Amino acid sequence: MRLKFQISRRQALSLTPLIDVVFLLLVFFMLASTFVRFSTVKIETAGAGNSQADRTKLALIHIGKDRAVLINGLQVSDDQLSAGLEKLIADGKTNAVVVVRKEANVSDLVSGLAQVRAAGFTSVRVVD
Amino acid sequence: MRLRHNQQIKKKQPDLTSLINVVFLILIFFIVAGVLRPFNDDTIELAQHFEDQTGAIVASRLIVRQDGILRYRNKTLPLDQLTGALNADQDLDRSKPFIIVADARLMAGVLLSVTRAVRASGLSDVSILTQRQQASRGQL
Repeated sequence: MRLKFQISRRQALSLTPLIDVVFLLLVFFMLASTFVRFSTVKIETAGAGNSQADRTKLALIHIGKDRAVLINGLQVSDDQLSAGLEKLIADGKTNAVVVVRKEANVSDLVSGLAQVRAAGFTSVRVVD
Repeated sequence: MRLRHNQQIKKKQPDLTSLINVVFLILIFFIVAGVLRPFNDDTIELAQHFEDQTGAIVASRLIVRQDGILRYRNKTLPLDQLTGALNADQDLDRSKPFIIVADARLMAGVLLSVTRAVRASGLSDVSILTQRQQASRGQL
């Protein structure tokens, strides 16, 4: 009789520790995870050893405050920017030198760099 | 008498299966849909840009705050000590791209000096962590 009682006890499996662990995992993932989509933008600063680069291929692009972009010293509006960059590529200027102005912040730099890279320059170097 | 006895037992042990089902579902949702945060600093606001491609983002330990304060491995250090700290770091994997977490409102010149200090320690592939924007849906 007693044996039978033990068997019936075994059948009722306690789920409480399982729920404890699952809740803990849930809380961990809720706190540690984020739904932001991350990306990276490569930054190549100009250094020694680049002095022999072909000057005729260089395109000078300035980045200023509030996402202002200047190509060869002339300010370009947002809708004309990609056309302007494509024209530089068409002219054979495949090495971009991005000059960051003093008042520009990281946000300006990143958006400018992303656009310059998207235009298809083979090398993009940043100077200040 | 018999009815009452049964009811009492049922009340003592409520059926938890449906609860576990739901909790498991939520857990799996967070595991699949979420990404673990690659850095640990609440003050940082990342720069945004449009891009389609995704890349693997490794955890980053160099954080530059809005006011130019530099934190490496959760320790604040001045810029002139950064190269030395990177050189002394045994755990740093030099074959992987080095990712800097910089606040979007930081002056770009400060970021460039930090980049030069990182490159001075022999790391040639330096990137900055950004937030991807989608043209159609905007920021998620």
